[in-house]
Amino acid sequence: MDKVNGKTKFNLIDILVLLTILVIIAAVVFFAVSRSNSLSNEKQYTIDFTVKITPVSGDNLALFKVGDTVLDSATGKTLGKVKEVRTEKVINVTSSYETLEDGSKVAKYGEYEDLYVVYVTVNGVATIDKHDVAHVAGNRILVGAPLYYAEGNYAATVFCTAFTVEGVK
Amino acid sequence: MARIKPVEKTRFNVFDILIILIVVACIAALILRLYVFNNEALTKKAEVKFSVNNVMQSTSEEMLKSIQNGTVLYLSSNEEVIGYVTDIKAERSTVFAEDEDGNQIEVYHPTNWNVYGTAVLYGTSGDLGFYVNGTMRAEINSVVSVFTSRVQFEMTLTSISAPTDKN
Repeated sequence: MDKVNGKTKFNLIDILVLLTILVIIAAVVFFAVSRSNSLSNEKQYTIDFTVKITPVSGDNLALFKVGDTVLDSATGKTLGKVKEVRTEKVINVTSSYETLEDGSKVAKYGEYEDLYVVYVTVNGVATIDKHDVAHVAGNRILVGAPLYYAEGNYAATVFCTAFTVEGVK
Repeated sequence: MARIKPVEKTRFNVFDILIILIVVACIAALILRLYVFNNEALTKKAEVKFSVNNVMQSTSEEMLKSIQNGTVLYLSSNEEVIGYVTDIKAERSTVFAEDEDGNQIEVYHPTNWNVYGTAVLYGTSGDLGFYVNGTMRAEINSVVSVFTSRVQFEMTLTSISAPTDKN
């Protein structure tokens, strides 16, 4: 602001300042309002999603328990509760093969003694976005999508292998 | 004697310069958003063939069930529409094994599957070829992370057609 004959007058810079402040305030209000509207309008669905955790040593299998709360280890937000736990042994593909009845040749495999693949089905609450994609605690729930899984003291990067959205909560 | 009125000069201070920089940055951001990072700027399309290798059988089945001709692909990084699938199929993955004579032969993997498909991807055309989403140069073996409403996967490009106009 300039002072001319003792009077304060606006110049171009002052107008730019005011405009910028107004635009910032308008943007903040707009996004705050639209965000709160979208949150309040989001329907919540119950979702069951299964994640694959591998490899897990036999000593750690007891860490996966039905009823445990599962968190996103990156954000600390709740993904849901463990509904089911299933295990398989990790396989090791060998250099030999067998010929099946239909004539196809399939590599033989063995199983590691104490390494497991753990499939955990988690029951949680999801929202559905504009692309019809389910989200739980900010994570896309899609077959093949990675998740940062934490249950008790166990944390790992896991991948979703299946999911079902069951209906409005 | 007439009194000479001192001329008051307008001087920029640090605050003024900061304001100008903020205004310029806002305008630049707006231009970038509207013209550079907007899908409308993706004026070209290219047909690509892709593979998704060594997935679980259940994943390949889910892909075949949920992805059809016309299924929209979204870019995993920014959720923007990046194209659509035109064709998809799955085959068992293969590995090499030794036969009785010690020769290496290709046999089926006991559990893994490969998914193969064709898609039309949107992008721009530059000196070095086609740029997926205007940012990633499409090359054989380059990987594009995409998702549909059911599956997220990394498509490895195995062939890329010459780009044509999108519309």
